[in-house]
Amino acid sequence: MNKLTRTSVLLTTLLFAAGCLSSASSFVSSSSPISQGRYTELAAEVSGTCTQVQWLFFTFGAAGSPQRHALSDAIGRISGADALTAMAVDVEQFTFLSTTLLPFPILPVFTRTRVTGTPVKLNAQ
Amino acid sequence: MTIWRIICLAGALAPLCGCHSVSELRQPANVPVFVDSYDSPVLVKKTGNVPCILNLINCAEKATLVVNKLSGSTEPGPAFPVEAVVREECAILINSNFRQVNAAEHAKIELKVESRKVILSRDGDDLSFSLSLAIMLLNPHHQDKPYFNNVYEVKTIGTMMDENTVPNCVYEAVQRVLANFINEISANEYLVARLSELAP
Repeated sequence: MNKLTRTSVLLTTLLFAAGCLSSASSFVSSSSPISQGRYTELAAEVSGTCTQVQWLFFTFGAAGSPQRHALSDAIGRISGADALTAMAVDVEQFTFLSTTLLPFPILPVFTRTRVTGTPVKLNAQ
Repeated sequence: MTIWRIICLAGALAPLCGCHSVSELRQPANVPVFVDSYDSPVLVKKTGNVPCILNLINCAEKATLVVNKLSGSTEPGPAFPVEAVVREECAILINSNFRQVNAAEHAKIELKVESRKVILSRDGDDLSFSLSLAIMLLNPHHQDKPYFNNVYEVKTIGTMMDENTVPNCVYEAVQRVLANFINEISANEYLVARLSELAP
């Protein structure tokens, strides 16, 4: 088998093994403690994302919790927003070769965390 | 080769360069009017001399225009002032039906306006503004028992003309809420009698 054929077979195998997975991570009433009637809704919906790449033992992208980064991104998009209500967290993952045999990905895995919710401004007491 | 390196480097840097201009939002030269007047003959006669102060501490400063895309996603756009519009309109309302506080006296009534919802969205050229305000009339020194307390909600629609000008639907919503408030308290004889006793 020549080199070109081997490469083609490998690429085809990777292509069939590649896939995108989207899963709902969590849903909470609000990202901060708020009481009824003590906030202002600033928009119907806003989203924020955080993308990380895992490869072997390394994680590339924003350090720390991707949910917190995505939340900060969402809140920062609306002027004056302090928190999100009806907040949903979804995780989208694109992987070339998924296996549970190894504790680390042998090919890069792209993970995007998306936080969606209603941006609110908290009122002073 | 050096010249080619410089050209390649310049070519790589060019897409990264950019110029960002901060556009200043402006209000229309003539503030649009959508309600007849805030003047209430009943209030002018009985509460026209009651010193009143405005409290907007819990009013949202701006409303961010959120654009609804064809894909179903949303994209935040420019933010337009809401608190400034509420302040201007409330000043007219107070001057029409009460009296602004002088420096040498204490206010007898506090007009407190809190925002509950300021949602400005755009779908194509159509704008939609949902405004909900809680309006209270309070004794400035005993705020636990308001004279009056109600929440008003209106939805106005408009057209996007200029991204740097406050849309007319923002003015319309604020004016309609305040007009509803004035109409309601004018019709409340007990409340008007109570407020008229506060005149010095």
